[in-house]
Amino acid sequence: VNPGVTVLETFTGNWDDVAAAKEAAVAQLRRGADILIHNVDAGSFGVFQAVRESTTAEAPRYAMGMNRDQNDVAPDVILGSAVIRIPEAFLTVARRVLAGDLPAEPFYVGEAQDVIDFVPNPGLEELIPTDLLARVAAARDSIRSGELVVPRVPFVEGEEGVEVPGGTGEGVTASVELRELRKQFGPVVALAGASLTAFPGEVHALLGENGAGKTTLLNLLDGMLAPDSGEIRIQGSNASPRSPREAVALGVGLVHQHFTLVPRFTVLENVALGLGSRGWGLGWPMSDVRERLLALAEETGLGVDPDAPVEGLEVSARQRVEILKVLLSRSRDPGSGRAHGRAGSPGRWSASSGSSGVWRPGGARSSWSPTSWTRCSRWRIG
Amino acid sequence: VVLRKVLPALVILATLHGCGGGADAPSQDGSLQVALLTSGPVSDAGWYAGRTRVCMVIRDSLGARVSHQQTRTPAEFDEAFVELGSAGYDLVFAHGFEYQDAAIRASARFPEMTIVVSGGGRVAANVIPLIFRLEEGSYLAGMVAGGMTRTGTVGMVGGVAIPPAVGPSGPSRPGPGP
Repeated sequence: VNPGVTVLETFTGNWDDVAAAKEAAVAQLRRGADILIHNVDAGSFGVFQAVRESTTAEAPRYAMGMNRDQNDVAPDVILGSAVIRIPEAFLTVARRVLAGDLPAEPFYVGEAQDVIDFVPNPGLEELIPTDLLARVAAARDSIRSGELVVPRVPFVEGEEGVEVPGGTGEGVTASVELRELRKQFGPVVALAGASLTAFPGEVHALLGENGAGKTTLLNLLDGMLAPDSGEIRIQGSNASPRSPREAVALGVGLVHQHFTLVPRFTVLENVALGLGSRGWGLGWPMSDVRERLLALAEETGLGVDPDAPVEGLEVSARQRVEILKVLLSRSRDPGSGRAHGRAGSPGRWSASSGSSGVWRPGGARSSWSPTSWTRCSRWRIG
Repeated sequence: VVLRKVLPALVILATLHGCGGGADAPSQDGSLQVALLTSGPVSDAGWYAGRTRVCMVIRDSLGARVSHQQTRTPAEFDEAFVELGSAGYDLVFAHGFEYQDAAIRASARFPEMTIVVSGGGRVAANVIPLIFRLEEGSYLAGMVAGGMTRTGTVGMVGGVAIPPAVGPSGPSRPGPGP
């Protein structure tokens, strides 16, 4: 339609926090968005309210309904809704079950079955140019006839690139594999044959009492320490990092429990410092670092204010800065970050209410819940 | 000891809501027994809204007995499947991606019960993912948004970035129009 259009995307982390959805909507409106699409369920009330409060005659703002016909929820701001006719879909399925005609495979329903549709809001339809409505109607016909196939991100078993869980895991390379690691400090054996395998998209919590060897294990992975024996494989190849810098080059970042941030510096300055220590900092324009930081913050949903001094930030915000620092240093590095491929099977992926997601350019994804976040003594992205 | 036996029964009665005056208990007359599971409030404006209509449509069209349960945690998902399977339900609509693992766990124990998981990603002999091609609708919404924007910027506010939610939102980008 319009290839020049910029799309801002924010995930609030849940489906029913109206205030968070409104906040996200307000931020997008401030950044120049004048049409908001959503997929945030009950949170959409916040989106509609934000649009309603910011629309003016000179600069009209509109929203789109989603999931069901929401045109009557906010008839003053919704141009139309993308709907799922759930009762009809369920009825179709129930009929097939009654008839004993529902094979053990994914059952797809869309425009062709009249389950999915786009319904313009009758009250505002006159605002939509006639030729645009005509093009939408033509596209709708093409979708219904199968002429136009709208791409989707595959996640169902059997779809392209989706692994069947419960299999051997063949074909998926472990991001990290620690084999029989041993580390001794003088007479103290810190690790005696520790092994751990982590696949793309997984989040692991490493629990243990004081002195159990958690830190030692991660320091081995991070290149801070060298193992006495054992093997470290990263992305399938034998690669024992000999320094944190090598670890970063291999795609391993460690966020420390005790922050390594300069309190008097701003978030941006701290991030720039992190880049500098890895060899790209000096002479690296600050505006570039800012741009990269904001883009990454947007992409990951880890919101930070680049100009806030770190000393004024609460712990969770500092944690976000540390993570962004690590991710940013990795994204600069050729051969890491982007090379991780698709996230593992949906079965491996876990979400809990209130959890957030972290996106990486390669498509791998991690999520965590606030509780596991604070309970983990160390945290990293697989 | 008595209390231990009675308590779970009370819990089942308390959580199995009839739909629109429908049957609370499974039928004995051989009609289709259908249950709907949701994990969110049914009062919202999107995914869960209209469940009463869902129940009524299925009941009235097929003469089925329909009930609805709201389950919040994975442990409750497991319990619900066991309850429904033990009660002889034929068909369960588990309305959300989050049910898929519990559905797979229950599938072998209750092979006669068909579990349809909305937006699910996993398949078993009696576990069927029901995939809504919402991307088709959001594509059209994206066309309107892309055609109507004056600033050239469109916003997308999402909930949790689960695969079924990310799937539709990608193509809603108004770029790849005809």
